Amino acid sequence: MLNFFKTPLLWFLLIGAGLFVYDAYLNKENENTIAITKGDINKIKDQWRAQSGKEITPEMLDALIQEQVRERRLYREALALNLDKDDVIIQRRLAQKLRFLSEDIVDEKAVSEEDLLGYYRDHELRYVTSSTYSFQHIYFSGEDKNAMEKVSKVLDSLDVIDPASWESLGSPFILGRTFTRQSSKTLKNQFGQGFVKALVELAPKKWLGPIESVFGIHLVYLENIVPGQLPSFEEIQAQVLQDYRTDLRRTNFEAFLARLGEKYPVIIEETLETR
Amino acid sequence: MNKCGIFLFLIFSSVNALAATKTNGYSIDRNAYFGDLHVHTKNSSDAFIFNVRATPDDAYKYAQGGSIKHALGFPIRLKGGPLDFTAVTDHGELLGILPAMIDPNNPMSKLPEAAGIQSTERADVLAAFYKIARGVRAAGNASPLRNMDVLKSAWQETVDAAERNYKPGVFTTFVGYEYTSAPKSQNLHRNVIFRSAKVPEIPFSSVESGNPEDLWHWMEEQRNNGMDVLAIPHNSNVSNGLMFQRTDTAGKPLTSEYAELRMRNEPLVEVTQVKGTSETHPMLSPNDEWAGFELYDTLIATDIVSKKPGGFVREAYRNGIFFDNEKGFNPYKFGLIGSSDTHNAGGPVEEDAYFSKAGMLDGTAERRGTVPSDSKTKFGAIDASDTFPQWGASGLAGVWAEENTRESLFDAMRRKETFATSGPRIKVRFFAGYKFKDEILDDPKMIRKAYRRGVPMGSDLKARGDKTPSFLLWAVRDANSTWLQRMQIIKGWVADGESHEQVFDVACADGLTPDNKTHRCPDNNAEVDLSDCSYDIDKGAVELKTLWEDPTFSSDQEAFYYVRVLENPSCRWSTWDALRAGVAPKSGLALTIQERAWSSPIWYIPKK
Repeated sequence: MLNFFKTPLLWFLLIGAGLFVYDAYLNKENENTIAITKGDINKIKDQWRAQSGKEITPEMLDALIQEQVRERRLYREALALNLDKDDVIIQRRLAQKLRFLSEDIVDEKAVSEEDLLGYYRDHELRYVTSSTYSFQHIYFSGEDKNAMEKVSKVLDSLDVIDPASWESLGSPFILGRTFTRQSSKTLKNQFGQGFVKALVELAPKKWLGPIESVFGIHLVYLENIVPGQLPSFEEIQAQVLQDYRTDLRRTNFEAFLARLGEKYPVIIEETLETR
Repeated sequence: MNKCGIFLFLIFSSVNALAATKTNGYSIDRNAYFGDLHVHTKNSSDAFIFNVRATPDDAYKYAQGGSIKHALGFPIRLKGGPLDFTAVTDHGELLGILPAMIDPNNPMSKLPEAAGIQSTERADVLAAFYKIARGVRAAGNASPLRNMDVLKSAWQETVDAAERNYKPGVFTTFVGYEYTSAPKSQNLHRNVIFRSAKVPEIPFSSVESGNPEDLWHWMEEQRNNGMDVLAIPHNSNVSNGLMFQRTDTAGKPLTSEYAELRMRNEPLVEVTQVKGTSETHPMLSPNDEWAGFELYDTLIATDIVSKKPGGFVREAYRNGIFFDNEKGFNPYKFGLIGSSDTHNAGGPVEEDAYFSKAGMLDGTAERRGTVPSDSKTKFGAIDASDTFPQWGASGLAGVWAEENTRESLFDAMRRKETFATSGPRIKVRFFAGYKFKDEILDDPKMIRKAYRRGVPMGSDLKARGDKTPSFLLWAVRDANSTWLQRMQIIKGWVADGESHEQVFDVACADGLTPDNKTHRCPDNNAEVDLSDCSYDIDKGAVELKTLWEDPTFSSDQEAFYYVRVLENPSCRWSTWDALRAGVAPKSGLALTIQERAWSSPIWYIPKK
């Protein structure tokens, strides 16, 4: 029996147990202890320096540390009292924080040129510029009661008059007589839908009309239509990268939400009204 | 640098300037460009408190016709298509401070003022708004809210966004900010606009000084350092008469130095915006039947009614020529623009798509008080349901410039060849000269001849002996708005030791002509159907064009003339709100308005 007490194993076990008990005794205090670490103190010092350009005084440091302690105590107690439940602002802030974290991953990843090129090819429709129209016109004011007569006269004489004199025909037009490379959207906002509809049907390089707009009647000489083009990959690579990242961010976030959906199922209580 | 060097330098730079490529659309006769020079984003402390999170990039996206989110979550977009230019003008006092205050890593988030700035509850939002305003007013630059690092970084963000979005020839952005001086709530705000992106490190705000004269001195310094800049005052209607006083800020008589300083720095005034129009007031212009347009008259965030004299543009013009006549200088010789003052990054300038300007406070009809609601609208001294319904869906700046670039537009603003509209893109031309023949109205080279033989809006017309000048006016409707009803000239002149004013109708729609005694067009009876806000499509003109001589002209009387164009009546935004909600419009509000445009004046200068 005494031999047992002499074995090293027993002493190892007793000393080990003693260490555990001592450690537990220490940690009992630490559960509720607020620890202001050297790191925290340096952070306060750095922030003060950055904001004011000077070193913090010992009194100020003390005051700020006390403020930190106060706030942390309140925070711990608030958590213990479950004050974070049912707080809309905290809920919103934490959801936002998690969302940002999930998005941060996307911004740090490098994207291969191959992937970008593939994305560019898949989304060509997005990058194609709209068709633009270049034309000149002769304007007959909507205020002019004799407009239609004047229009016919001009139309009849267009074959015989010097084509270069078109500028002297008709009335002055406040937006000018020559339009260069305007998109149909801009023209619609300036002349109205009806004018644009008629414009797109015109054969180029001759005076045609009459075409109506919100301003009156026009004879139009369509110079050309430059069809929308697809800029080369090199020209818009930066834009493509931005769009790629935006899409990736969104799909990642949606996948993340889907996983959360599996983890947290939902029950919506029905009321008599909603049935 | 010796004379030879200077000579060579001049040759070199002028050759350079001539060789500078013109952008697409360049026109020597100048084109009309429309824009908003008064836009706030989340970087403005009040916008941020109103839950607005839109950025300067969002503001530029909206201006270019894109859709962005209102603070309450719904999309907002310009129905009439993209604007040609925009300036983001966030309040310089606390630029970017509030977004920094919600960053938990920023020590500013610990300040007591940080409490409540993210609240979505109206009462908290207004309380936070007042607290922050008071804090800065009390402590000035010593306030912990005036964090220079954050301010500089937010200012850099403003510059970067303007640079990122500037597309010469297509869309112009200006770097700018708002100088928000309001001693005792009397509005002395100005928007400061830079000609280029070369700007000082930090804007001069009302924290440095609430006296606009100090702002002008700071601007002179910047100009001397090669950074041209101008300031555009707004909301004189709620300045309690301080904006256009007959003395300087210290109460001393005006001098020619003051007049030159003011005009060099403030060649323009923003005469219309959401918080009311400041052209004139029925009290100051009792003989102007259209003087009561979109009036707003309580000092901001109070229930104090603003004094009228000194608060309106037409009276300032009159005082200006009076000073010139008596003392030889004119401190109020500015041109006009409109803008919105949106705090949503996008201006609500369309009546049928109005969402007001203060983020979550007034983003729905219930919140702005035009439709009955259960929620309380009274906060301290102000009752929101009294204030917000008075606001209007204004305005836009119109500029006549050769091309859509910063340089061309800014130069046009300097020479005051600008006009203001209450929202629609009405285009107005205005010239004065002694050699305009009647045929010029049909001449395809009309504008070229007008520039050659006369002077455009914003200019002086010098006397030519006893000759009577004629005025060329031309206005064209906005395709997306209703037709024009009439074109007017407002004249002011000095006689018998006083200034006077008169409104003349000079062109009418529908084949009508102004009566030559009353100078009024007969009513064209254009109507609006209030059950659906549709209007008569066979009333009104597509364009109005006329050559006019002043029947009361006297060659020795100093005078100013400016154009006002009125559309046919159309529904006011508050009527649209009521229509959509299926309720009767709130009583006391105009059911329809006549949208309008104002040109900058031409000043007739007699021989002295």
